[in-house]
Amino acid sequence: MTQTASYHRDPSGRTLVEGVARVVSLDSGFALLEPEVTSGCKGCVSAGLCGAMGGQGSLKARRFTIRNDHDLHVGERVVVGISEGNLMRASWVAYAIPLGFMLVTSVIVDLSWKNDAVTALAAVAGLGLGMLVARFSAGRMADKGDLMPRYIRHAAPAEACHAE
Amino acid sequence: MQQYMLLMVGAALVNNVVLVRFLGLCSFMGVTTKVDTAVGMGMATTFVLTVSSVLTWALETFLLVPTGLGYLRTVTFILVIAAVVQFTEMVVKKISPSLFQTLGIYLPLITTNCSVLGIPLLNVEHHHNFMQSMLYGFASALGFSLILAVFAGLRERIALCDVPRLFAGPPIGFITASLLALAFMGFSGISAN
Repeated sequence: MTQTASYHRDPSGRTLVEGVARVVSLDSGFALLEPEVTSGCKGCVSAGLCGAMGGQGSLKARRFTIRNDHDLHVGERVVVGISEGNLMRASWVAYAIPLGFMLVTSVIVDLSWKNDAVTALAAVAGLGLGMLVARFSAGRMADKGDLMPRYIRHAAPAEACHAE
Repeated sequence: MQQYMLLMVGAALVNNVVLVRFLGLCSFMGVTTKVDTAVGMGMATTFVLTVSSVLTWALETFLLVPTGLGYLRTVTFILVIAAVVQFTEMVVKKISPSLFQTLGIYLPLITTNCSVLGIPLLNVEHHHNFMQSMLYGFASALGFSLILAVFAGLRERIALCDVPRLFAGPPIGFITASLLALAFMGFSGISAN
């Protein structure tokens, strides 16, 4: 989603990060979409190693659903968006929470024991605990629908992703 | 505690991984066109770099040094980093498939980020203990993320400016980066005092 970033505001004034995706199937009121690989990705020096554009398998893994309120059909290209604030919160949940737990646990144990092996074990335990908390937080975000992209408009024929 | 704070300030600002050590320049120029992509990449790099620093310290201390296999350090560290990136991708996917769809794009890019290999190697060179390795990795990644976000903000503003045609695109980006590097040289005064 975010590799195709450009900006748009929803009716409530929140900034959305946009991306172009193609409808691959329809199922009882929902549409399954596959994000398009950016032209910028194809020119990247890491293209051969990058899982984001590494064949159909990785694109399938990145498919997502949206509510089909706009009579979408298979093969249509649409512009979808996710709130910038939600994207930032998702980054915090995925990375900052586990890392924060790991760092705090390590510092506390190191100040108490001053032993590298014990501190290393505490870091692993802290990371595991942080991942559990992250899982809980991500579940709450998903339940609220914060992580689900929204339909913005149909993509124009020449409209491509805006990575660069 | 003060020693750790000084280590972190030094790693994040005085010896900034991008502007002083010139590591991770490809992602620095590649993902800084928009602030949100820069922040996402920065956070993913912070996670991977910190966990990699921890794991490479353990590998160096408990395997490479005792068995005299120090000459395999670079190869081993590359493998560890690739494994950490894959592990992170799997964990994010497991924690929340929605999060993976939203943030998964940045993870493969980290595998080819030379700062992620450079920092664990610097940890070995500086003979850091466990806490020092972890905090050095964390602070270096914070410095990397800070520069990514600042530079992305500058490039977003430059995109709205009337730049002469010959300087448009990467040339003005490089000039801006050099000015930013000059500004960060001011932090080197901290270590002198």
